[in-house]
Amino acid sequence: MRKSFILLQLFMMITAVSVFANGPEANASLFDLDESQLESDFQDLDQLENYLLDNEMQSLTDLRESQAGMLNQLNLGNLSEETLVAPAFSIDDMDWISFAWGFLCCPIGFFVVGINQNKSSDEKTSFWLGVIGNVIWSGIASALYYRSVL
Amino acid sequence: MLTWVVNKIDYIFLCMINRYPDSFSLGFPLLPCLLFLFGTFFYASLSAQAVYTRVEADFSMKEKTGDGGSSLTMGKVYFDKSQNKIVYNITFPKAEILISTDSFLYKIEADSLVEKLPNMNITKFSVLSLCLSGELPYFGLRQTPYKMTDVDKDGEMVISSWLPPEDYADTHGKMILSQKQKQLYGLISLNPGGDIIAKQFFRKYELISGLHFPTEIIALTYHGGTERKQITTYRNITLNQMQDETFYTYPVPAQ
Repeated sequence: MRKSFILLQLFMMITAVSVFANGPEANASLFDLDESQLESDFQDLDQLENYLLDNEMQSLTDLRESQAGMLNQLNLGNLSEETLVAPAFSIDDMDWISFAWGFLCCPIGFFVVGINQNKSSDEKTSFWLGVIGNVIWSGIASALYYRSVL
Repeated sequence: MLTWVVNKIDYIFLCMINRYPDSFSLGFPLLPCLLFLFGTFFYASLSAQAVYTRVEADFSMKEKTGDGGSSLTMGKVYFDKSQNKIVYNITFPKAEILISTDSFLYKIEADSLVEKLPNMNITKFSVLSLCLSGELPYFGLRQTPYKMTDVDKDGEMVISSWLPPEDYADTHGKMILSQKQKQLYGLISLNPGGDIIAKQFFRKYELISGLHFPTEIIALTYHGGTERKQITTYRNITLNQMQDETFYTYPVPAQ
């Protein structure tokens, strides 16, 4: 009886872990979209987009000079000057601590960052860039060392 | 394959001549009729698989970040399958040209290369490329090691779950894909722990030269407890424009 209970508990634990790992159940409610919230969030950008479509396209610098009032009224004074078609990872996304793990101590960093599910993709990318950096640096250093020795 | 088809046609003719010798000897136009039918069938097959190689469109990308930041990018995008690169002629917030390849993103201002950044976006999995290749309904997942593990109908949606191969299970999570009327509607990406990291919605499909194209794509990404919302809109979509090559073949700058 006790053995069956332990087996049942084990089964429930395994099921719970697999349910967690598989994430939420696939159903239509996962694809619900709050339309009114979205409309409200993008109201200002929609207005600016329509203005730019109706008028000749101009740069943000020109717009700030000629339509500063409109931008402030739309609360878009801090509109980004960067284009959105940006790469998934750039130097600005580098997490230098993760990079240091990869560069200085990759065997431990592999467990701390590399396979840590709580780390973001940027942190993992930074770690692997650190590892690559380490390999390149080690290769150069070794080549220089052996060249001086031999 | 071609030899097999020719042999089969030859065999059919021989059978018909043997079976109905009179229809040939009396001048019955069986052969022209068969050729006409075969030609019609062949043409219909080609039309059904119309070859789309190029697409261009006006686009706008709006973004709201969790910390209150706003961005708007507008311009025109060009994609040619044979070139395997996406060229953005951006007009807002500033005039620049971006060339996105599988490995790098090149930023060009006033005909000069100003930045070359590593790019992890694979051209083949861009919406433009997936639309042209007819792989958008499954977001190209059928061409990847991901395997469909479950499919179910819920209301008007057909929802399928896709899992990465076991070797990648530590780094890649499950994907849940939904279709409405056989068109891709939503895509949810999960991390290996089972948390939702991104949702994408493909809406407002337009039929352009026989191709269904989503003109609005909404992307919600979740990271560190914040939500980033992005809406991409396509307008004036043109397929197979062959008159002006300028942006389709825009050269990747030399180093």
